[in-house]
Amino acid sequence: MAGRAATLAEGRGMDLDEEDEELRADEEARGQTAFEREYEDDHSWEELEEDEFGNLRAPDQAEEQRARRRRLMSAAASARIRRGMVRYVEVVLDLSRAAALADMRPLRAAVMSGVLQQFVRTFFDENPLSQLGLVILRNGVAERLTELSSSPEAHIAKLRQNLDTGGDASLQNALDLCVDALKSIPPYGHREVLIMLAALSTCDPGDINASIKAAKRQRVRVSVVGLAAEVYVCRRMTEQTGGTYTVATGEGHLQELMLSHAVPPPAAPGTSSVSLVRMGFPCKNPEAPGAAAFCGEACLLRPGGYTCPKCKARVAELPSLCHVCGLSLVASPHLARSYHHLFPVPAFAEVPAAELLGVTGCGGNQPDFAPAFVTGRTYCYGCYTPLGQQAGGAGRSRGAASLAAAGIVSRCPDCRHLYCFECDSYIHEHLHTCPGCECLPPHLATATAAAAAAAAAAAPAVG
Amino acid sequence: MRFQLEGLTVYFPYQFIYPEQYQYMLELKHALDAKGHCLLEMPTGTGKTITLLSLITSYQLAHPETGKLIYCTRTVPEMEKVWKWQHNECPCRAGCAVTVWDVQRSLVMTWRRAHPDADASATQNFKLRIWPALLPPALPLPCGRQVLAELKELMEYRQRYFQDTAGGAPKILALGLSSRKNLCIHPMVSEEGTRESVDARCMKLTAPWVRERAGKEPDHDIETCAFYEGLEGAGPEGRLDAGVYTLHDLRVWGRKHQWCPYFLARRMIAYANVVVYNYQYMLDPKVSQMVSREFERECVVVFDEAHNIDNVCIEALSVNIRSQTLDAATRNIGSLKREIERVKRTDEGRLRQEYQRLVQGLQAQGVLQEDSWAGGDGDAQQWLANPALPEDIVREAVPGNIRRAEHFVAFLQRFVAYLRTRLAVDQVVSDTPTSFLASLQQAVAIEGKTLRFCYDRLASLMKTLEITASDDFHGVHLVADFATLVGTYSRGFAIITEPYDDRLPSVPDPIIQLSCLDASLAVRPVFAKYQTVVITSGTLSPIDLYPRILNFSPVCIASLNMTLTRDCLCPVVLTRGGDQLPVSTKFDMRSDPQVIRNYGRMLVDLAATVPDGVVAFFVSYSYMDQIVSRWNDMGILQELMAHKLVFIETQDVVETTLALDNFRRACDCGRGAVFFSVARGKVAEGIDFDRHYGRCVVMFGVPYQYTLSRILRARLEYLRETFQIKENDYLAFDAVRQAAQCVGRVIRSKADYGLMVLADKRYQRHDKRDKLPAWITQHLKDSHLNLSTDMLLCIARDFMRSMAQPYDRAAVGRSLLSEAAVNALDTAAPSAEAAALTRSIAAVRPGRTSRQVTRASAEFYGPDRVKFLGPFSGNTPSYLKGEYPGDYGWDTAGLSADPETFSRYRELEVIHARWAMLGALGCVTPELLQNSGSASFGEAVWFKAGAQIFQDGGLDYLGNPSLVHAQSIVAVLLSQIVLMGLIEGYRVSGGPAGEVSDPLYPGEAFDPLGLADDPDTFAELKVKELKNGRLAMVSMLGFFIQAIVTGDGPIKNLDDHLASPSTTNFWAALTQRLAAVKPSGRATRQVTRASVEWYGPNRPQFLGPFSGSTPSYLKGEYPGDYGWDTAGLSADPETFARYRELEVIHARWAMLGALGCVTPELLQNQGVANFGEAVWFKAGAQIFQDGGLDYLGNPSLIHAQSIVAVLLTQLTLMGLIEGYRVNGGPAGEDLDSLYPGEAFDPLGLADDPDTFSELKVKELKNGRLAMVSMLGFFVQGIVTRKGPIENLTDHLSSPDSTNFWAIYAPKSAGIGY
Repeated sequence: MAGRAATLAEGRGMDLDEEDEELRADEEARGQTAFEREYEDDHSWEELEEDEFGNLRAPDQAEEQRARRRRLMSAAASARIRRGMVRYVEVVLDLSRAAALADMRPLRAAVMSGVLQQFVRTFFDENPLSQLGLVILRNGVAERLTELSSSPEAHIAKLRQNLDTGGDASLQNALDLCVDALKSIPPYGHREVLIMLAALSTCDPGDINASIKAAKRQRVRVSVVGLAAEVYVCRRMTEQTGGTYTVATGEGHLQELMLSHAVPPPAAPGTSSVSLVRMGFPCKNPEAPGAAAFCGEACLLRPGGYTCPKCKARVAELPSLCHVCGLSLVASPHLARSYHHLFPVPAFAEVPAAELLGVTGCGGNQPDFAPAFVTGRTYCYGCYTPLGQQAGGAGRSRGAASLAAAGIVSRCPDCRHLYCFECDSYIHEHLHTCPGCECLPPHLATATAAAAAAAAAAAPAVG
Repeated sequence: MRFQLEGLTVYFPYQFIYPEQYQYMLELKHALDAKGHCLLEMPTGTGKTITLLSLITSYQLAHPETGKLIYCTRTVPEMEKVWKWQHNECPCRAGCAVTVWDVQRSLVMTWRRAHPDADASATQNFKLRIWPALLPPALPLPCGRQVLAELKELMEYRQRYFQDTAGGAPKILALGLSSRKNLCIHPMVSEEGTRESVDARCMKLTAPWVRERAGKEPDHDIETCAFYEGLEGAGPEGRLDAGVYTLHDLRVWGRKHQWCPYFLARRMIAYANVVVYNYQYMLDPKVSQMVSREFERECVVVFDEAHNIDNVCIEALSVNIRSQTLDAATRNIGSLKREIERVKRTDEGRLRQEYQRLVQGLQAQGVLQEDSWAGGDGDAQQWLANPALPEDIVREAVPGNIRRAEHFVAFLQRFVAYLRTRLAVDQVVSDTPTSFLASLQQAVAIEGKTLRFCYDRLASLMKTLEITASDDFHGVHLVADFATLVGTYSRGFAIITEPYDDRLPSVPDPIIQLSCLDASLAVRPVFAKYQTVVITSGTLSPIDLYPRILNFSPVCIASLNMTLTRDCLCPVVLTRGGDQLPVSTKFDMRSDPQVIRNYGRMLVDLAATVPDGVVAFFVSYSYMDQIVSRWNDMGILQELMAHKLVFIETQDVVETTLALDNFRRACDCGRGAVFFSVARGKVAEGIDFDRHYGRCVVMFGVPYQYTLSRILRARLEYLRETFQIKENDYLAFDAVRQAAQCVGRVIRSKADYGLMVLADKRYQRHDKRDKLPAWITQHLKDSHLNLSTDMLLCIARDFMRSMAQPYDRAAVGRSLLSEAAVNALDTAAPSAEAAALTRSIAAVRPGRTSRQVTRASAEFYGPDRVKFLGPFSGNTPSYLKGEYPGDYGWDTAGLSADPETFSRYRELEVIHARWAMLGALGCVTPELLQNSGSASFGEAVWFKAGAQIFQDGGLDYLGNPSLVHAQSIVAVLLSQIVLMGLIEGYRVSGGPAGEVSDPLYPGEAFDPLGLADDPDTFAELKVKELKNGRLAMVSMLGFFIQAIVTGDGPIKNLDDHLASPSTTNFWAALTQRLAAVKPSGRATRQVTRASVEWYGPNRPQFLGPFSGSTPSYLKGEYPGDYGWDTAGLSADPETFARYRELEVIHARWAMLGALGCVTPELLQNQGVANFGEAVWFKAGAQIFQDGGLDYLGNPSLIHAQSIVAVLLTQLTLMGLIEGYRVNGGPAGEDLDSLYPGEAFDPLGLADDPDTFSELKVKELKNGRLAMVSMLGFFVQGIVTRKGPIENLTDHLSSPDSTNFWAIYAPKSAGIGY
C-alpha cells in the first residue's frame, strides 16, 4: 500500500482510493462509526441564533474564519524564515498510567494514538524528505517502537498494535533514548523530539537536568504537547532546547496542536550552514511478474520497486535511504512537495464589506472570462461563487442574504483577485499556489517571478 | 513613570502601574494628608512594597516636613531578598537570617558527622546546596525584590527626572538595621553562633569600663574591638554618605572604613530618611526604647505583612517562666552574690556610689537612660532595657528596701523562691496581676511597687558590677522582666500556671505564663507617638476588626482587589467527599473514618490532576499526625506516593528544612510532591509556595486556635469585656485569617496561578466566607461553594488546562495603566473626588442641605393645591383640607366625611397602592426582560409564570437552578405570605425602629436612603407615590382583564396592539371571547343525552352552526370543548392537558371564591348572621381591628388575630387539597387527577358515566362563569367599594345611575389628573 502511494504515476484512481482510506482511518481514529460518534461535545445547535424576527440564523462564521486565517497568515508571514526541510523527528508517545484516564473519550491513549496516526500521515505529506521514529513511554521505561524511517504505514501499523497502558512515565529515559538515536544524524538534518505527554510527573532514574543539557548540546529541539496541565520540567526543557510547549484543552485542540508540528519549524540560528545534500532519483522498475528481483534489506523477491542510481540496489519504496550505499533516494514530487514551505503563497488581505459593494467581477487586472451567470456580480475567482451582499439581491429573503454574507472575502496582494474563504484556505493549505497569479499575463507575471527568484536565492539549496 | 496624584508628583519606577496600586497610593496619600493612621489590604504579588515606597518617598520630597519612613518588616530575609544572589560572593557570609543561620549550622554539623572524611570544599558545596532551601525562594520577577532593593531601584530611577535640575537628584539616606549578629564584622565575634553570644562577646570588647581600663593600662593587653574604636575615633566624621544601604552595603562600608557597621547604623538612623527594621524594634518596649526613642513625631511608620500584628504585640509583652528558668536565676543570683562580695572587698566605693545614686532616683539622674550615641558610654548597656512601656515607667526613686545590693539580691532570692512555690501546683491556676500581688504580699511580704523597679535595679547592679557576660544572666533577667511587668500592669494581663502541657499530661512541665491579653497595650505608644501609622498586608480581612483589637481609629480603611488579565486564582470550597458525605474537621467529625477517607481520596485524586507541587495544610500537628497515620493504615498514603512524593513538616526546624529542600527538588525535576504542613506553623508564615512549587493548596478544615488553651480563653474573655468582641467572632476571624494566609501562599505574583481548596463544609457558611479577603472572595464563584470531590476534580482539570494556555502577560489598558492613562485619571478625578468628599461630609453632618421652597409644598398641599377639575372645581368638601397627599378635593360619595373612616381609607389606599405598584412591576418586568433577551424566565407572562411550578423539577428562578429553586407551590405561597405578612405586621405594629412613628410613612430609622430628610421633598414624594400607586392599581385591574380576555401578558398585548391596532384591542378580544361563551348559554336548554350533546363532533360549537373551522385537534372528547381555539393553545396535546387541568382547577376555586364572596353578604342582609363586615373585600380588614376578627361576630367561634396565621392556614388548606389532588393520596394514585371518581366520590356522581360526563360540562361552565364573576367582583370592589349583593340591589333599584360606567367614569377622571 505504502509503496503504491509513492508511485504517483498511477493517477486518479489511486487518489480516490487513498481518500477513502483516509476517511476510514479518520473514523477508526475515533474508534467508532458515524452513528456512535459523540455529539455532546460540539453543541452545534447552541450556536444557532434567533434574530429579532424569529428566523434562525447560522452563527456568524466570520470570526471563526478570521481566527483560522490568522493561523494561515502566521505561516505565510514567516515566509522568509529559514526552515528545516529535512527533519528527523522522534515522536514519544506517553502510554503510562495517566494515559488510561477517560477524560477524553474513550481513553486518552486511544485519542492520542488516533491523533498521532493522523500526525504521521500529515507529517510525511508535508515533509516527504524527513524521517520519523516512534518511542513509547510505559512502566517507567522508554521502548523504541520504530526506528527512524520514512514509511508512514509502517509507523501506523506498529502504533496500532501497541496501546496497552500502565506504570509511570520517565521523560529522562525517553530523552536519553531519542538523543542517542539523533546523535548520528547528518548536520543538515533537523533533530527534533516531540513528546505527547499525558502524565503529570516523571519518574526518572537520574537527574533530568543532565539529560536536558545533553539534548541541548546535541542541538535537539524538544517540543511537548501535554494533555492535562503545565508541568514545570517540560516548560524548562522546551525553553532550554528551543522547542514549544502546549497543553491541549480537548481532543480537537490536541489534534490542532499536534498538526501544527507537521509544518517544518524555523531553523535554529547558526545550526547548519548551507550545504549541498546528495540525493538520488531512482528509476522505477517494471511491474511485470517477470521482472521480480530481491528488493530491499529484507531481500523479498518481488517485482517493481526502484533501482538506486549509485549502486543499483533495489529498494521497495520512496523516499528512503539506500540500504546498500546509504544514499537518500527521493522522487521529484517529494522535492516539489517540500518546496511550498520555502515559497508560501502570500497572505491574502481581507476585503471589508463596504469596499466589496463597489466591485464587480473577481477583481484582478485581467479580462474576465466569467461565465454568463456570474457577470455583473462580484464572484470568487476560484469557484465562481457570488460574493457578498449583492449576490443575495435586495428583493430576496433575509435568510438567504445572511447565509450568502457569512464568510469573509480576501484578495491576493499580487494578482488582486478576490477569493471566498473556502478557496482562500484551500489555496493556502493544499494548493500552495495562487491560480490568479499563475494565470497572469506574461508582462505582469515577470514581476512576480523576479520576486520568487529572489526568495529562492535565500533558501537552502537542495541538489 | 512620573505622574500627578492629586497635586503630588509621584515617581514610580515602572512603565506601567496597576489600577490597584494607584488606588493604594490614593488611600495612602489621604492618610498622610489627614495625618492619621490607615489600614490597607492589598493582595500579595501586586507590588505593595514598591507602591508604598514610591508614594512615601515622593511625599517626603514634596513635603520636607514629613519625618522618616520607618518600615517594619516581619523577618530579616524579607528585608533583603536580594542577598540570595550575593551570598556566594559576600566574604562575610551574609548571615542575615537569624534562625536560618542556626539551622544551617546544625545541618552542616550533621553532615560532617556523616562524612567525617569530607574536605573543606565538599563542605562548602554542601553549604551552598542547602543554603537556598533555607529561605523563601527569591523570584526573578520585579515584585519579588524587597524593600531596600526596591528602594535602591526607585532612587536610581528617580535620578533621570532630576538630570536637569541644578542640585541633581535629592539625596536620601536609607538603611536597614539589624542585630549585632547580622552586622558584626569583627573576625572573632561574628563567628559566634547565636544572637545572645554575639551580643555578649561584643559587650566584652566595647563596654565602657573595658575601654576605660584598656585606655588606662595599655600594656595589659586588654582586648577591644578595633572597628568600634575606629568609629569612636572618627568622631563626627564617622557617618554614611547619602544613599541606600542594605545590611550587606553597611558591612562593606564598615570594612572599608574600619568602622563597626552596627554602631554606625545606630548612629545614622537619626539622620536617615528611610529606616527598615524588624517589628520588634518598634513594638517590643525593651528594644524600641533604645532604638526608636528619638524618632520625631512626624514619622511615617509602616507595618508590612501585619496580619498577625496583634500576636507580635502580645508576644512582646509576655514572659514564660519554667523551673529551668528559676534554676538559672538561682545560679545567677549566686554569682551576683559572689560578685558583690568580691567588689565589696576590692572596691566598696563603687557600691556606695551606686547607693547614693539610687537614693536620688534612677531616672532623675538619667543614669539608666541611654544617652544618644554622642554620649558614648551608655551604648554598651543598651541590651538592658525595661520591658514596660515608656510612659508606664515610674519616675521616682527606687524603694529603700532594694537599694543596697545585698538587699536586692536577697529580695530576688525571695521572689524566686516564691515563684518556685507557685510552680509546684498540680492543677491549673489562673490569676490576675492584682491577685498575684496580693498573695505575694501575703506570702513573702513583697510589694507591687518594689517589683516595678526590679528591672531597673538589676540593670544598675549589673552595670555597677561591670558584668558583661549578659547571655549567662538570662534567667535572672527573665525573672526581673516578669516582676516588672506584674508590678506595672494590673489590667490586660493574666498569670496562668499550668502543671503540664495539656497535650502531654503525663509529663510534668510546670510553667508560669505571664500573658499579655491586650494587643493594644504594646502598640498604643506607637499610635500615640507617630503621626501616621500604616498597617498593611495581603490578608487583613475582616478589616474592621483590627481597629478594635488594636484600639485605634484609622482615617483610611481600604481593601483593594487584584486586577488580573486572566482568572489565575481559583478558590473553591469542598463540602462533600466522593460519597456525598460532608467533610469537616469539626471536633465531632474529625476522627470519623469516613471523613478521613474522603479527605485522603480527595488528596490522591488532586495529586493525579495537579502537576508539580501540592501543599496541604492541616489544622494542627496532632491532627496531622492522626490523619496521616490513618491514611497510612487505609493505604491512601501509598496511593498518594504513586503520584507524588510526600514531605511532612515537623516541629523540628532542621527536619523541616530538609523536607522543604527535597520538596523543591522534587518539584523542579518533574517528579511532583505533596507537602504536608500545619496552619500557624513556620512554613505557613514564612515560606512561599509560588509557581510550580504550589499549583494547588488544600486547607483541611478551619484552623481554629487550640480553644482549650487557658491563655486564649483568658484573652477571649478580656476581648469580650473590654472591646465587646464576641468570642466566636474573634475565633472565626482568627481562623479565617490563618486559612487565608495559608491559601495565599500559593500565589505570589500575577503571572502565577493556583488552585485553592478550602476543604471543610463550614467554609460554605457566610460567617466564614465573608471574612476571607476580598481578592479571594472576588474569584469565589457561587457554583464553587458546595463541591464534592468529583466536581472539584472537574474544576481542577479545567483550570489547569486553561491556565496552561499561552496568555498575554501585559494586557496594557485593562489591568495596567500607562503614564498618560494615570495622568488622565488624575485630571478626571478631582470632580468625582470632590463629589465623594461632599457626599461623605453630608453624611457626617446631618444638617439639612438647604433646598429652597419646593414645588411640592405649594403645589400638592394646602388650599391652593391642584384639584380634580382644575380651576373649575368649585365645591371642594370642607373636610378635605389638602393636608394629606393625593387629595384632589373630590369626594362625591362622602367617604372621607368621618375622620376615622377617612384615616382608614387613606391607609388602605396607600397600602394597596404600594402593593399594586410592586405587583404591576412584577407583572411587567419579567416579560420585558424576556423580550429584550436579557434573562430567561421560561415563562415570562405573569399569570402563566406561576404554572411553571407544576413542571417536573419545579420552578427555576431566571431559568437558573442554583438560584431560588421552588418545587412546591405551597412553599412558595407560604414564603410570599410570610414575607408580605412580616412587612405589613412590621408596618402596623411597629418594630425595633420605634413605635411612635407614623405607620404609613415611618421615615427616621426606616429610611436608609434619606428620602424623608427634607420634609418638602418627602411631601412631594408622598404625592408621587400615591399617584403612581393609583395608576398601578388601575393597571393591575387592566392586566387581570387583559389576561382573561386575551390570554396574553401585558407587554405582548401592547406589542400586538401596536402592531395591528384595529384588530387587537379590548373590544375585538372581548367580543371574540363573549361569542365563545354565548352559544353555550343558549344550548343548555335542550338537555337530553350529554354524551351526544356535549361531546363528539356534533357538539354545540362556539359559533353554533356557523363555526366551520373547528381545529382538527379539538375532537370534542373533553368537557367544555366548544371547538374554538384561535390561539392554538390546545394544539399540543401535552400543553392542552395542562391547560385543561389549570382551567378546571381555577374554575373550582373560583366557584368556591364567588360563593364565599356572596354568601356572607346575603346572610347579613337577610339578618341570618352577623359578620361585622360582610362585604368580601372589607371582611379581611377586620383582622386589623383591635382584638382581631371574630367569625360570625362570635368570639367563641374561630377567632383570628393575625393575618399571617389566617393566610397561613388558608394556604395550608389549599395546598393540602391541591397537593392531594396532584400527587394522589390514600384514595389511590391511578385515578385521573382531575376527575378522581371512585373512592373519592361519596355522592356517587360518577356512577353513571353519562351523568358524570354531563356533570363535568356543567362544572366547567359554572366554573368559567365563576371566574368571570370573580373578575367582576374585583372590578366592582375597586370601583364601587361595595359588595356584589349591595351593588346588585343598588343597580336593581336605580339601574341608570348605579352602573359600571356611571361610577367608573368620574373616578377615572379623578385619577387621570
